[in-house]
Amino acid sequence: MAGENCLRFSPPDGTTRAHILFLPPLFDEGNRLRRTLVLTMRALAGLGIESHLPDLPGQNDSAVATSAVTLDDWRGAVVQFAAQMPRPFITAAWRGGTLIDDAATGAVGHWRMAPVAGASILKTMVRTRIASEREAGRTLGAQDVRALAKQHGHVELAGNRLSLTMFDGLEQAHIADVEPLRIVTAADMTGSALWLRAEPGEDAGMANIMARDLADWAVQCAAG
Amino acid sequence: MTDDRKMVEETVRSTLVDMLGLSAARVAEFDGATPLFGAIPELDSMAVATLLTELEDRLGITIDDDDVDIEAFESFGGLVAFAARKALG
Repeated sequence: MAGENCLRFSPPDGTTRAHILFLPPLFDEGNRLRRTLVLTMRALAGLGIESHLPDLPGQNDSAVATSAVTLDDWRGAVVQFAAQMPRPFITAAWRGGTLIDDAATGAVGHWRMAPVAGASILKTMVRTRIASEREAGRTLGAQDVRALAKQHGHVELAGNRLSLTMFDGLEQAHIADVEPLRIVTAADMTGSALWLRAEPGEDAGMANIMARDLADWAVQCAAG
Repeated sequence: MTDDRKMVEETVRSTLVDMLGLSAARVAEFDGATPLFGAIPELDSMAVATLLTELEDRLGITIDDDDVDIEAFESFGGLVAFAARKALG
């Protein structure tokens, strides 16, 4: 999307074998994994792979308010990111990023780590709101949270202001079938689910193994 | 301990490893009396929200939020018993 930042790491001129569009986890999970994703991008450049990590509107450093975006906006942004990618490219998506990676028209392959349903992402955020209400001595149920979103047009969840459209969009979001596709777990990459960490951490070893795995898959997909 | 119960316990352990960034060896030493909520600073009520959803996904269960008593999270044994009740009935 116009005006969004995109972090890019390129190999030395003339050595690029393939390109990867990174689609990180959504909301807090993206913050927790970001450091390790950037380590992965640096390692990829050393392997001859150029990678791009754009901000989705309303995420990371975006100037757009989170409350102003919908899941369809994110899909539209991915269409635009994909149109700007050098060819050939694959997508690499983590967690909630896998809900929108199928919008990357022109990708010659896809790579996913730990896909998660939109409903699960939303549920954790709703639970966080319920927990903070409970600490304040107020009782709120999951249904009440959606009612609040409906009443005000948006609702504050775990530090994110989500519109009703985004709320419902996440509730229904599913992971699309794409191919060719490689799916991995954190354990496959000798790492752990860093996006769950209560205190953010990083894992350079996991980043190096992810980079090698991504590079191999990107080159294989690029060769058709 | 039955195999099913052991599976639930191992799932709870691996989820705590991921969430708390502790070594598997350290979490393997947790016993029923090991204090969690209130004793481990990282495990606050926000982290419990993550823990509940992750246990649902990993154990294939649904947890009704009205049914969640924070006391169940005060010890490792309490947490495993809670998860086992949801997973095994």
